[in-house]
Amino acid sequence: MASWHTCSMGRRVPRGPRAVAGGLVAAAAIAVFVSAGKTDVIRAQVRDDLPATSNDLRLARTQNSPLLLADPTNPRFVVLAHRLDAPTFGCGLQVSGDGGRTYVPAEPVPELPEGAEKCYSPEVAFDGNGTLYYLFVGLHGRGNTPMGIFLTTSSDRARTFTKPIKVLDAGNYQTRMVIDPTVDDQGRIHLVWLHTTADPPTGGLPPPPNPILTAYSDDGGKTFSEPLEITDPERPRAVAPAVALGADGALHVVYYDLQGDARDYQGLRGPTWTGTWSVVVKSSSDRRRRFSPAVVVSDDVVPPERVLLIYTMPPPAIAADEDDLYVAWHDARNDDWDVFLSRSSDAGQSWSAPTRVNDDEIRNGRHQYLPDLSVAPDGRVDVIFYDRRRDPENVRNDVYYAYSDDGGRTFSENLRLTSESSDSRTGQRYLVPSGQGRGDVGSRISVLAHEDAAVAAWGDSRNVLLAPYSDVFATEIVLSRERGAGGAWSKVGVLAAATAVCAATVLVWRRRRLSRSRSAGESTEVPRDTAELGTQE
Amino acid sequence: MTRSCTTTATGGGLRRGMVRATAVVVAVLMLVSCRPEIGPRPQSRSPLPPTPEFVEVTMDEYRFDYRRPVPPGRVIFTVHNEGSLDHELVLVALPERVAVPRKRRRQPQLVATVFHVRPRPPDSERKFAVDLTPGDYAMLCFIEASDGETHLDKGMRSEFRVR
Repeated sequence: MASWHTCSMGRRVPRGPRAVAGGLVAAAAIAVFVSAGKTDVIRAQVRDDLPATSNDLRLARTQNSPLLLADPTNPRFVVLAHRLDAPTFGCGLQVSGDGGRTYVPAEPVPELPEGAEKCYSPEVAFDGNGTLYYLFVGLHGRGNTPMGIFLTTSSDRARTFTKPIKVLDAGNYQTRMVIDPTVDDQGRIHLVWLHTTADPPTGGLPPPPNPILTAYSDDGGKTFSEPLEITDPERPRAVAPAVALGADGALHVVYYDLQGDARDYQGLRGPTWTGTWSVVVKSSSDRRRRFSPAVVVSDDVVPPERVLLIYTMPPPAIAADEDDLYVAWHDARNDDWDVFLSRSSDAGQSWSAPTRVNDDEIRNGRHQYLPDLSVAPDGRVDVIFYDRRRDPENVRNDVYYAYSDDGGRTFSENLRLTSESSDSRTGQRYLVPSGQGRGDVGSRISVLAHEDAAVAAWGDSRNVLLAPYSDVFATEIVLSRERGAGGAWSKVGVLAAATAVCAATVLVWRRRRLSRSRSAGESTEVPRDTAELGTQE
Repeated sequence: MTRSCTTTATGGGLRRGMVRATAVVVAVLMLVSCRPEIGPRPQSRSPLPPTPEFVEVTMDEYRFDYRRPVPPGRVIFTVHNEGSLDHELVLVALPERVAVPRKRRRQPQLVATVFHVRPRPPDSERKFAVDLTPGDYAMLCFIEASDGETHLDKGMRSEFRVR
């Protein structure tokens, strides 16, 4: 005897076909669920690395410390500001019209300001209109004494620049700049710097206090607000600030607290400090510049070596998006040097435990150092760093790249960006007590995250003939997002779901049609076996 | 007459409709044009910077091959050694009226070296960038061959002019 039950429309439909249709729909749901559960995978492809600066043995130059930045009105326009350490101190600017793949030179300071003999240590920022701001230190005298911080701007993609204006007096170092484009028409220029309260000795800072200060300008740098001290009195040896803008224009400043390390702070003779430093972040609650107390990112920063020159000490790297804030640095807590990253999801009020970014064997005696990071519009976190994993002598530098697609919790396999290693011992040598004649590879390297690519730049001495000599090299990492291990699964899943739904629909429709035709005849009952055969009535 | 009136009435309706439609379009256009701009406002109308020139140089026994003319400005040279011996590339700027000698002279004339790709083994590559100004240049290889002659002596030299 066939079995029946009543459907919601009051018509009787055979239970067997309904069960089959229900099963098919369930199968479709499972297929969609399974395929949807598979995560995306980012495929990274490194393009050939190319020189981003030129060189000429008639006047061999040491070029390093690049800083990459994209024009917010057209990300294909990318600028690369960099330091020159030899034959004399200087600053450079390279510009790109293809998103940072290749570069040609620009001349931001054709005429030095009165009293300055050299330009040094440039910083760059764009406002919301695409105007480029170029900040630099003016040096004078045989001792390269800083005589002020100057600002010049360009509104024609670095073809011409305004006459530099002085924005800070002598005695100020490590100046960083960031522009909040959402304030008024010109945007708000934030400066953060280290202020010395006495004449510094050679190679070091005067004894504390030498506070980190901040000020802003709403008129394109013509005037600035009263400087505000952002270091806490209980952290008197705060150095090497870096700055990022977070959500709602909040200003985040990261720096090292050298704690009791007066040797590096003041550039005194002696071995590497055996205590620890701290990485510390101060955050403003909003644009009103109310700063919260300092928050420690890590208290276990084991100094990797003597600070070469405190004025050019590499800062920790910092980057932010609407949701999260990231800080990266390197230290020797694992004996050799490793790169670490911490994340804050509450605007700098608390920080995750550090994640080791480099994926070589731990404690293998090879250094990873000088990281930089950048956050893509989709939240991908890109990190690059110098890396000596390929050299058993731990001397030759490569540059490696890693990304995180889960907010810095885990990192991808590290990718080598350099096609050739270069000697880390080349570069300007400093005759200061802390320097001990070591070469300087620069105070930063730079990565710039785009939606589907990242560009990276670093100081590179592969072409060196006579030290000091180095170039800046750059490359592009092309990133494509694909369905993960389930790339094939997702296609099969969707196909299976579509097939199952179609089959279920046809089955139910045909049963209902059969049911109606039967009810018009002598009996409303259809034997179960006939119903299942469908067309054989 | 009725048809005529009807026709007139229909024509009037059409005209009114067209006037209304035009008014709506104009109003929409005005609204769109008055809408405040959203996002960054591109101030700079300057063209994007040019890309540098790329010149591929092939080193072989005993010659340099590359595309000419070599333009002024930023040039990225990619140098491949496709020979079976080590080769170098010494890029020199030639003073006016100075030609590269066919043989190394006993009293070599000093010329300014712009770039030096150190001796490279076969099947290797090196990249460098120079900002070339107009003038005469030469690529030379001074490596000594097993017979005591230099690669330059064997003809491994090439001059080019940047205009």
